[in-house]
Amino acid sequence: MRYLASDIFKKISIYILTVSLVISGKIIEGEDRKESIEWEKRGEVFMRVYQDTIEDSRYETNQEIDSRFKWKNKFKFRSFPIILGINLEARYQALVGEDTEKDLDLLLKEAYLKFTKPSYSLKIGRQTVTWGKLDDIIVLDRVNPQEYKWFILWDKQERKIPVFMAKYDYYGNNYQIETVIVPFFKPSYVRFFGSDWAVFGHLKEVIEDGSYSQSIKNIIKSIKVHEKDRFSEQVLENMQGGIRVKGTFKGIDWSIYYMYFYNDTPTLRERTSKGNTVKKFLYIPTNSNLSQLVAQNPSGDDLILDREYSRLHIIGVDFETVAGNYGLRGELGFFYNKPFLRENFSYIEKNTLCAGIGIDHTTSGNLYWNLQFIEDIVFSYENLFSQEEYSHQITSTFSKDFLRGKLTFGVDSSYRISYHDWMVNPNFTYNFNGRLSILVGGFIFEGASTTLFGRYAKKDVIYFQTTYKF
Amino acid sequence: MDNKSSYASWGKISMAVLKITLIWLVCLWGVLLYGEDLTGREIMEEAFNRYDGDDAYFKMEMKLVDKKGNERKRLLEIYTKDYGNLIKTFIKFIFPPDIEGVSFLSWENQDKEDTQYLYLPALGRVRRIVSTQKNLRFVNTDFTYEDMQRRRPEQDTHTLLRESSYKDYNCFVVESIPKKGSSQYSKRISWVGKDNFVILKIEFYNKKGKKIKEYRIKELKKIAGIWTPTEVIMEDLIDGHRTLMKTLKVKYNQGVDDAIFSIRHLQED
Repeated sequence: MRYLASDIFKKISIYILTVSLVISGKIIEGEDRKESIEWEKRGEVFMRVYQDTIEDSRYETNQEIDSRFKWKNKFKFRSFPIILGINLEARYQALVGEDTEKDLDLLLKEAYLKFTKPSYSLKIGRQTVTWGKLDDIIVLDRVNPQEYKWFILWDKQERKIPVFMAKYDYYGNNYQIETVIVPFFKPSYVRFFGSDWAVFGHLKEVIEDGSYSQSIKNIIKSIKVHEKDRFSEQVLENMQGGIRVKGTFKGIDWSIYYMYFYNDTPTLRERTSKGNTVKKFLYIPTNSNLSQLVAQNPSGDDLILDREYSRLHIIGVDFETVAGNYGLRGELGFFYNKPFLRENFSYIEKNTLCAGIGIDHTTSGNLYWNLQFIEDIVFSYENLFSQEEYSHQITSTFSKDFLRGKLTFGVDSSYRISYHDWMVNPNFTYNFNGRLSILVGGFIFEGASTTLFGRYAKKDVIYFQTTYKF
Repeated sequence: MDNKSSYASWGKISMAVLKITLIWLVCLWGVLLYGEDLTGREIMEEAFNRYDGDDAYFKMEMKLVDKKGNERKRLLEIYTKDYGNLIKTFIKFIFPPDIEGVSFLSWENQDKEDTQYLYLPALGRVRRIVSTQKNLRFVNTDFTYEDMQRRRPEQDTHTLLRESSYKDYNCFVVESIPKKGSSQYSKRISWVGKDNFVILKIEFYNKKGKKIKEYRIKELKKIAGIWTPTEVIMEDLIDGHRTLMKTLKVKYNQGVDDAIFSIRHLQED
């Protein structure tokens, strides 16, 4: 029965696509747009090439190529209050190195039907939702999972993975109620092994090719990360939902949230107590940790780690306003049962609070800056792996236009004060004519090897991007 | 000629003379009223209160031209509605592709700061933006946010300098000096049509008193009974950059739906 539900929703998506293609054939475009259907379409082709700055190991990818063709379509029906959205994407991605990997994908990124009335709207299908007010920081913007295939080389919006959901919005006089129901769970994309951007990088290859005994090599080779059945199957018991009420009071836009979602980035759960030693070696790959693991003579389930996703109750608020010449915004979320690793690498759930505040301004010299401060607090704290009781982070964005907006220089950065790891992303963009633009930029990561950014400290890249929009 | 026809002819002539006299008197009254007695403030109030429709829709082409003559074109749609003490404006860019879908909503309040929202497709959400930084360029044109808004007469001290002509129009030339630093400019000098109270030309002076920009109407048409500048130019006299705005389509008093000026529409459109 649970498979049946999944099939039905897949068929709905295919049906939406088929209907749209039939309709698109009947549309006549015109200047006055008096036709029964208005077709808005836009697209872009771009290619981004990352070049690794220093070859630190032979396993590293020298170049990464990410090219995409995006085609967004929106059909507005004049006779019916319905909007149909179809967004298609073709991707060619390659990791160029000793073992070159190539991927070609054709994706139905979004496919939805939206029924609109003056007091409400209902949108059903594969779609993307943006909640929260902060920029490029995830506190409350948790409806869609994220694609971390390239870690954070893409910004938050670009990383979002559209999922099938129903979104109902009610519009009152001075307020709005948004509800989302996500029938099936789709986790964020996180790769653990075999790529520069994988959580554990090329650890397996290093051991395999290193001067270790065959038994050690066999142990490491046997480490597997499994998706639990109930997460990999599209079953309704994984249903998620959220509600947001928003309004404006005395010039302040505010929202209140409740969400019952999964923490969609996986935590690795051990099947046996020896599994914790496996995790310890993976996260801190020292010879002593390897020896400790081998000494336990692990086999079978000891070497299998399951991807686990905790159910979260989230209560949150956000706001946005202006104060003089400054924009102010913030988010605060209370998370019930967020997963963490203890120092012994066993798994535990804790209640946490995450709050962020941001301020932005454009100077008279047309320099735009945006600063955000984020604070995480773990309640009932005990010693955790790579997580302080109170942790603080600062993000910043600076950008300035030259040549009347043709040339833009920007710098994004993030500094995790509590862990002393950071990331900087300078970039130059030249826009030729409103269609064609080129971008040259770089990513620099620094920090200890157990920290978020420090894990990629040997993966500084420069990149070149060309984009053509139509 | 019989008497009847003679009376009739004289009657017609008398009526004609009477009409001419009346018209002349009305003109004289107009000249007396608008030519000599009108103050700079009254002229600018007439210009500000000139009827420009209860609501309007414009489709406009915007050309950015640098001093070498290189052009960049933009197309935008503008909806605006006058609610008395509140003017609401919705702007949507439809060309070129790099700014297509960018939308802007402004509620121009009479006695408090304006409320402004921006929708950027890349951001995926509506963002409340600062409305007080009026000296910044509007999407890299030669218009600043201040230039894009209707300036209320009470914000400046106005002096009628002289009468002059601009193109084929007789004009009042009015100097307007901002009160209490309410502007990025030290003064504006405006050419206001004597017959239609349309502002046909404006010279902008910086804080050092130097003329830095000039706004000119290149074409003026009466559409649905409303004088409408259909081609205007704003020229930066410092760097030689120009912004030309041409009205491709205009509709007045079509009963623009209030829902267009909502955050919901900004996000959904």
